[in-house]
Amino acid sequence: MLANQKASKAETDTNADADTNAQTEQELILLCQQGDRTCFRLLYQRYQQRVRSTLYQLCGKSLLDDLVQEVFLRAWKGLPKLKTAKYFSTWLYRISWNVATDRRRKLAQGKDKTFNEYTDKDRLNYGKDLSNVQDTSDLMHLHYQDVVQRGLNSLSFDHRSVLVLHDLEDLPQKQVAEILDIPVGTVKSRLFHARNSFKKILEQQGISF
Amino acid sequence: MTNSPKDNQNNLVSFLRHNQPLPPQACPDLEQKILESLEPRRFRDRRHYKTVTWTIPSAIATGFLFTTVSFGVRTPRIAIEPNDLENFLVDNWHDTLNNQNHSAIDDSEIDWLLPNVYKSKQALSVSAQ
Repeated sequence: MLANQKASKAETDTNADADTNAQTEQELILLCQQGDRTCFRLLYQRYQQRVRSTLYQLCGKSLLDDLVQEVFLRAWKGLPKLKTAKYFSTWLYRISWNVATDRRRKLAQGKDKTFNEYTDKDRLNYGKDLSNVQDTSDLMHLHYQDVVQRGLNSLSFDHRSVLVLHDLEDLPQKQVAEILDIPVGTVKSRLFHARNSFKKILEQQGISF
Repeated sequence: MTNSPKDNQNNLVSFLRHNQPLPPQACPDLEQKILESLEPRRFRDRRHYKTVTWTIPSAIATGFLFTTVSFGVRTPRIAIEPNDLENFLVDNWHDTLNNQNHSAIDDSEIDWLLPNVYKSKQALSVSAQ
């Protein structure tokens, strides 16, 4: 009985914390809309890891800092037009996806020749990482990371986006649909095909489920 | 015993999450660099919008007032006194007569429709005869 009461109290506290966090985030966004840079710094600190990770999965290592900067500059510029503060997260992911799309478009047009150089550097770094690792489990982990990275690279950008946002960033399908501006049914279909393709890639590497 | 497709998917997802490649650390001064690159907010737009909102109605009101006043000044006042009315009627009648006289003096319609060239050609033909 006492345990149940404690559990319910803990749950209430957690909900209250979540509410407070949500409220403070909305307040932060409102202050940012009014031009408060200190609040924008807090928002940056809160979201930069997610933005960075998404961009890294979508575009790789090359010019990652520049891409992150681009996302936050666009966010700052567009914040006054954001009507509902609670959609900030979805909106920021949307900006990240736009920046990633622009980057890929430039690469496809061949405007940016640095990409290949950076990819080569990534491979070199991977080799250095391998040489530093002593433990077998770490070695396996690095190997799997490399397999996942190569698997993501081999997927189409549409499939990759859905897989990254849903499976790696752990966003619900509805939010993914909003970010990519596509129906939920399309998200489901793309996710299904992306996972199947990924499974095949992993099977080629001797990894099966 | 084989895994169900759902189990397979869950296994794949957990494998991906566990082994997802982690992004490299950001440049230490990236945060500062971003904050320094932020453009200052322009609140002029709102003020401008407010100014426009106030300017347009006041301009319309001023225009309306000006038109009303000038129209009131220029419009002839209606004669209320019988003498004024009589004078007005007499003046109007004289003006009408004057207009008729004037129109009688005017050249005929044919006259002013004929081009000058025609007259000169006629003169030439006379000289040829």
